[in-house]
Amino acid sequence: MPEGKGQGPTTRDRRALAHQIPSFIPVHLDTPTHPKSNLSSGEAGAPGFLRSKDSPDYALLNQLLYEGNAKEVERLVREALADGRPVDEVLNEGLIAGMSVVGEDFKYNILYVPEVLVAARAMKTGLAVLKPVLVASAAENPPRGTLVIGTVKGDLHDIGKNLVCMMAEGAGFKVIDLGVDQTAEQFIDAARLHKADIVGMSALLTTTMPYMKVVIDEFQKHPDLASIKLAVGGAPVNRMFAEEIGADGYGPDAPSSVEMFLGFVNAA
Amino acid sequence: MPSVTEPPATRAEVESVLRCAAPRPVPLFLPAIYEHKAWFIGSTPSAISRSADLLTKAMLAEFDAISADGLVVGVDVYNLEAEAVGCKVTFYEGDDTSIPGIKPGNHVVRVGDDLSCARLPNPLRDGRMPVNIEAARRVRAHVGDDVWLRGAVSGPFSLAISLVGAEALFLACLDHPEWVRAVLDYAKRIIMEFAKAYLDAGAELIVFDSQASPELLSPPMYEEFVMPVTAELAAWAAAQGLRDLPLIIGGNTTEIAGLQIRTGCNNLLCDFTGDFDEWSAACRAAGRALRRNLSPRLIETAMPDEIHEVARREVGRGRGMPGFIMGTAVVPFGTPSENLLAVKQACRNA
Repeated sequence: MPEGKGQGPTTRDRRALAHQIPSFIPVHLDTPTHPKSNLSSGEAGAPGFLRSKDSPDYALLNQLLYEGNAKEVERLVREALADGRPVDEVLNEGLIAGMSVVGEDFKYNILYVPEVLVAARAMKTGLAVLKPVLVASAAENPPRGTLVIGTVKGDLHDIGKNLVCMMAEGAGFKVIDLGVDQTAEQFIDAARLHKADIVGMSALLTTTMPYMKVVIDEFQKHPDLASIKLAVGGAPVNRMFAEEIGADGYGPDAPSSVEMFLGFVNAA
Repeated sequence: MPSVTEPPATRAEVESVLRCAAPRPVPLFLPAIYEHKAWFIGSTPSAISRSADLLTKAMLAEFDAISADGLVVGVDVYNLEAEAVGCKVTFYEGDDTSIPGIKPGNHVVRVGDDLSCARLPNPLRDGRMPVNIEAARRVRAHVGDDVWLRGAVSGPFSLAISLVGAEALFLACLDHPEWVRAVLDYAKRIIMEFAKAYLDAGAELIVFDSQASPELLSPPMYEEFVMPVTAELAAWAAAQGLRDLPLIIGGNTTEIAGLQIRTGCNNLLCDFTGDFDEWSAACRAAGRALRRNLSPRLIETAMPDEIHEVARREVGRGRGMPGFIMGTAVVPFGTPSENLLAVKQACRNA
């Protein structure tokens, strides 16, 4: 991620802002290194999920997800469903909204990889509760899009790619993670098989990033794949390189990548 | 752009820079050449990383072509220690110039394992450590004692990631901090075994720990987990008689400049994305040498004149700073030598 993590306020600015926000929730991970979020407050000590039938406490759920408290996230998601909240509401306002704050704070160096991973783990726990209901109502709640993603041939470094997967899943995408060291043919086969909207390619090494162009050139030989958006990212990649090789988009970091994906599917 | 054929700095000149004596009129030039070593002999990273003969030839060819002010033994530097204790490394055959690596899942330590009696490597026998040790010995014999020759070792956090896997280790930092300290201690003990063999072979050391960059790990976590064990490693190296120990963490590490200084390592890195002004102020105050890197894409793709101009500006920023070193990020395989020599020329023209 040598391009930096976004063009917003500096880390110092953001930290100063974050420190001005008072502590507000009684549930914290037992670690001195986990920062407080700038999420809005739930009601301290609220006994259940609903403060009233009209006012579900998604802020509390967001905060628990932010802190990576998987057990409590699972409990509140179950309570929300038991209280009759619509599954798409729980997903969007409880989990996706919480994960989007995680992404935003990661972008501005308020959170780092360990905290993002622990939040993503909590998100997955909540998603697992929702999954049977989501599957049953798949027609009403389709994924925002399908992302096929992997590191390119010769590149075995997957930290960044995995973060993108987690955040894309957290944003409502169906994610097909091909893993590492993927050839152009493997990207193309998976894109066809899963009817991808977006193909994401990741590289950590300057020696492997040129292979992104090989993949893009191969996609361009297949008219049936023309509607698929091809996105690139990884430490040595920058916007200029992405434009040079004909990519549709470039993500300097995981949260920005997901914003780009949302832009692709919203424009479609 | 003219080629530069002047000999490298002597060991005494290097020491003078590393120990922050008066600024050197011509900054040291230390490009980061690892997989690119293979290119100098028309080979591949996988091939030279498995053969002491080829690695030696590649390093001597690099020395002849670039004549930088130091040499490093190592190609896929983050794999060696992990491989020596059982991690499987993927190599590429034929003319594939991909860099060997450890595929996700090929790790040998699980979170919670008791590591108090875990196996340590024998550097003269295990994995490809013997390849590197033998290459160090041969290169030292060829170039003599006056060239700064260093054996590359992993830093504790990067090695721990190779041993455990990135996600598992990052999660353990929050879930099992005591165990993370134990695995970092194990990593340190592995590194020390490899380092001892390098020292016996006549090389010094250089520590790489880019997985501990604040682009991944927060500064408080660096301070809590990584700094103490790195300081122990540096203290151990000093006890072996090693006065100069570079610590190389890539990416924008400005936020942990002060913490790196506290490790005791005396030659630190401000990568091309780092804030040079903050870094240089911190290093001046602490009496640490500082290497400034140029972007690998610039080095790989720009014309020599353009590279020279960028390098000249960076050298200008370091002018007057004791301990300033001009460097590059990892040089991509196949980068024309003229591009590297353009940086060296900018140092000469300083």
